[in-house]
Amino acid sequence: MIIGVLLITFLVSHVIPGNPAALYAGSHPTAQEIQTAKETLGLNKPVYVQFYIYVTDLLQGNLGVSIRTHNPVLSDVAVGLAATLELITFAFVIAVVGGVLVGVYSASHRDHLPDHFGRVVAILGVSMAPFWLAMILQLIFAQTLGLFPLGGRLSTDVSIIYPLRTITGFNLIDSLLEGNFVVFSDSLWHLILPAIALATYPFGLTVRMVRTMMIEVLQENYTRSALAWGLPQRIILFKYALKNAISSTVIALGMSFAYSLTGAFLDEIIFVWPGLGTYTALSILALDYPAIMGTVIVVAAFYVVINLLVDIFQALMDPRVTL
Amino acid sequence: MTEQKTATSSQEQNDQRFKETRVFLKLVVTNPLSLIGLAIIVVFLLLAIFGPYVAPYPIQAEGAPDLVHQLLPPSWQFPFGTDEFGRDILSRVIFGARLSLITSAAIVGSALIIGTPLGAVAGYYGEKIGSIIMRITDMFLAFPPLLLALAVAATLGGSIINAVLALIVTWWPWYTRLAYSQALATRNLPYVDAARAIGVGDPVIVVRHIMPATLAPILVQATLDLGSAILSVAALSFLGLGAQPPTPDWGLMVNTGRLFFLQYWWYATFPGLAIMVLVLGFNLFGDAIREAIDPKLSRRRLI
Repeated sequence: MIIGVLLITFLVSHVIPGNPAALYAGSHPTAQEIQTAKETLGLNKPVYVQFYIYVTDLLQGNLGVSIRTHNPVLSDVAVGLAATLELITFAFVIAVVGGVLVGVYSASHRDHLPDHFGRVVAILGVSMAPFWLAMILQLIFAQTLGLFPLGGRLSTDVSIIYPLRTITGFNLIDSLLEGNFVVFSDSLWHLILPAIALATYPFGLTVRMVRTMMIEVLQENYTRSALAWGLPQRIILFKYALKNAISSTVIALGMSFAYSLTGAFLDEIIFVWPGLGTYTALSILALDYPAIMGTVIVVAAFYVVINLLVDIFQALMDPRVTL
Repeated sequence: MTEQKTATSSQEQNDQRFKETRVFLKLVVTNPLSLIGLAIIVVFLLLAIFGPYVAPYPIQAEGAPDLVHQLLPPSWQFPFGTDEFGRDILSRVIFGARLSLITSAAIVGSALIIGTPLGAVAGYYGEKIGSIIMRITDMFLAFPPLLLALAVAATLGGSIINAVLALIVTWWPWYTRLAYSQALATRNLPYVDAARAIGVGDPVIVVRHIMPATLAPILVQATLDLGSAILSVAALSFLGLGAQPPTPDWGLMVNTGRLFFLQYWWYATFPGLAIMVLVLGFNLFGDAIREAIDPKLSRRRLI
């Protein structure tokens, strides 16, 4: 799978007639400059040689040098990745816990008020442009009500008075490890709004998938038996039904994660979150080609690993699934 | 005698099919949410067709500035307010409907036309051809949604055509996979065996017997995907990889509106609202069809 990802990113970056050489050579390049750029980028060699060079470079962790920041792309990406992961993880937890609970509740009250409410919330969640929702939340809760900060990851004064040593790159974890509770609460305060904006779409997805699957399971004979035995509804729902709906729940989780991953790109721009999304957006504006491709490769590789974990987890949880 | 028997059975079959269609229509129509969805889609379609006649300021919608009325809040004269060039946002939102519907239909339509036959062929032939096609498909599916489109669009350079191309490149594998699983399920059914037995060629079987069987789930998926395609185009436009100014594109309007947003809330709010309502329409309608087709979701409940 990783090889496939490499092959496609290679095709996109080397074969599509977007002319990276012209971009690399700067604005208004001469034919000579383009030729030199082609030679520097190795674009004059045969395609299979280019692919070989590309893969060996990648295996050595060489993603090229950013045109905009002049740093190696890998180190730029590493800095942004921690911030993005912190945001995604938080949003993911909101989406999954909320999504599964609402999905189960909705299914068990099918066609009644809680179900209608759950469905409307879920369908609105998957119908909104996430970046637009982020802006609306920012306007209402940060600008008008002043409950949350407008953006950023830490308040400037807090980060100056209580400097944080980077251990994991996750501010929440680092501040806890150091016992620095001012930074902890400030980080959390900055995290809530972007996380909610990011969580909305995957939340909607999870509710919809869990609800559909639960409705199927609740019609099975064993559910009827459990009901006839007089087991309490809570036990039927969470012990019997959800267990059998686990397959699609795990798929929902995987999809939620995937959407958070790219959704974060847009969310970060709105909330000035110093992660990969902001980095990519700036790279796009600057036509910083190696930076864009580097980010795409890292995120895609990350996604492949997560998918593998989802498959393994699914096989562990559900004996009907074999790898 | 035999002829008569065949005639009756085909008559019965027709009745059966008629009944199914009626049940299906009834489900779709009696579900109020699906009607709301359909109504939304129809309204936006009408706006897309008659936009130039409905919009109060059609010239401004296409980009002509009106510098006297810059950034005015919503009023009777400008129900959605005006933007930084004094253009009426309502008119631009109305013009955006056409662009959104055309781009999303182009993306989903092309992806469907490329993806479905590939999946049907892969599923029917299996073996080598099938596994080659599905390997390639899996490679594309290994990217999180939108990420590959972002890379392709960034390489091609920002324009609405390139955004559409980038999304087609990343969208077709989903239909291939869907058609593949359907084709796998149909290829050994008696009527396909029968066709093979009387000497119908493989290509004809794929076109006449396998592809129609894949159609129902694919059309449901396509309805839902029209909504996601609109969101994806908007996301690319928002990143500057889609439509370029002064195109009246919703995603682009939200993006430019972002610069003014905290003082002039109406600028980005209304185009975003338009995206939400139209996507909601597709989702409601698509959900209703899916529920009508899927027997497992029938209205029978215990708890």
